[in-house]
Amino acid sequence: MSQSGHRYTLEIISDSGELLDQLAADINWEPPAECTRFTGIRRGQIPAVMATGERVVQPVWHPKLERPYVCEFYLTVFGDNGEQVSAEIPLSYVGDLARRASARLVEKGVLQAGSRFHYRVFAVEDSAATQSEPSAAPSFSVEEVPRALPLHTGCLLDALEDGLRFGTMTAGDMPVFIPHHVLTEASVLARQAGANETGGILIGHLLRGPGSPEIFAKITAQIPAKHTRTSLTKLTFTADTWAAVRGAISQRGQDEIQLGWWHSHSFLKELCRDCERRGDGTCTTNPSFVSVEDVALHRTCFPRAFSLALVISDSPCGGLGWELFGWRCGMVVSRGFHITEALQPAPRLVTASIVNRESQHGKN
Amino acid sequence: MNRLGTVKGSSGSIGLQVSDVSGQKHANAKGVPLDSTVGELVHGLLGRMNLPHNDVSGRPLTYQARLEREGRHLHASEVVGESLQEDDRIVLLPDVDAGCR
Repeated sequence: MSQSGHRYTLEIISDSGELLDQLAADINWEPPAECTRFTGIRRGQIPAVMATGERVVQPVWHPKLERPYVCEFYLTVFGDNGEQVSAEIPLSYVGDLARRASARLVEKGVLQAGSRFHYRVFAVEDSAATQSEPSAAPSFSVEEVPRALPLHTGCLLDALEDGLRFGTMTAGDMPVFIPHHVLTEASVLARQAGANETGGILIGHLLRGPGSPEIFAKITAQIPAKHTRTSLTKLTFTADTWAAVRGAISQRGQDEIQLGWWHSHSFLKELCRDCERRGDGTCTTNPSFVSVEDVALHRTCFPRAFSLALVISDSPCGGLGWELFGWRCGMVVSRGFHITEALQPAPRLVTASIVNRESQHGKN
Repeated sequence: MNRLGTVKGSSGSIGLQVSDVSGQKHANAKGVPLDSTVGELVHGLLGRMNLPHNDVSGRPLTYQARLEREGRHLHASEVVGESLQEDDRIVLLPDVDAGCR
């Protein structure tokens, strides 16, 4: 059950300060609650159990606009034995809602495409805003089954010693280790797919050392996504894709879990073919990002706070690039990681399951 | 008569174990009517497991229910009492898009 005690309203404001729209903000608190819970687990404040649990969200009043306007949210999650963990959730968490609202205003002609807008949120106390989980079909009940996090034993210091830092490290992020050969395999597959998207699943272990509650993730392999539909700007993971991944993990027999996914953004190979900036080196187009669709996929298939999304970008001007994304405060953001085995000879490209390469392409 | 010995359309029900595609969200469904369809079952499970019904464009997401015991996807029109057994494990697998538009 989640308790809010407040109803939130989103206001969209033009760059000149005109109020353009006001709408009820239906905020999904599950991703930030999941992140807060995982932070508590990593600090040893609550048991390492994956469960939704109870949570409370309070508005933090804006220092300048004052009540009822909100500058951030204060979220508390509870363990079964009364433990609690809190986190400040920035107002930018509702940024996606604001962008979607602004898109509707563009469709209506109220806002011009590409024009700047602002948003703010106000909260009104409402005891009826305590939300039970949405009910299932009335004819049957559904009860969550809490599961212990599948933790292995490992030494973070040893892993750090072996790793090469890559990207921007942010304090508070779970340490992540990706072997160089996994990055290489994914990059080779991205190149082989040409301008079309391709992807796969990152598998591995969550580890915790004997002397510290901190948890870290070690990717062990990538499983190329089979049975996908692909095009220049879209990659569909189908039910058969996921079934094949489950089968591959089971076949490997190494007690691995799905830690995330990767996919390629190589569309610039096609779109930038005739770009004038290509020759003079002034192109700044960056395909290393997660789209709205990517975030939705991550939320649907990788809701746990430790889940990762790797984007392999490939463009005529920028070449091949890696960028890792993960959950932070309920949002999917760019984050750093550690490359392991970088100085070792690359193993043959048969590790995870480079299998049936044809099935990734050509269906769409 | 189905394999559970319950006449289709009767008020019998079963319990099922359900997990999401990540394998990290688990739930027990209790009292699932034998005469309901797999499509109705899946629809009922999504909300309670906090799984999205729609994609970013508002179109309904397609989920397949995979029956672990038989290693196959159940068809939405299959009847629970004819295809599932007490305590069967099913996994909800979506067709979902990544994109870079």
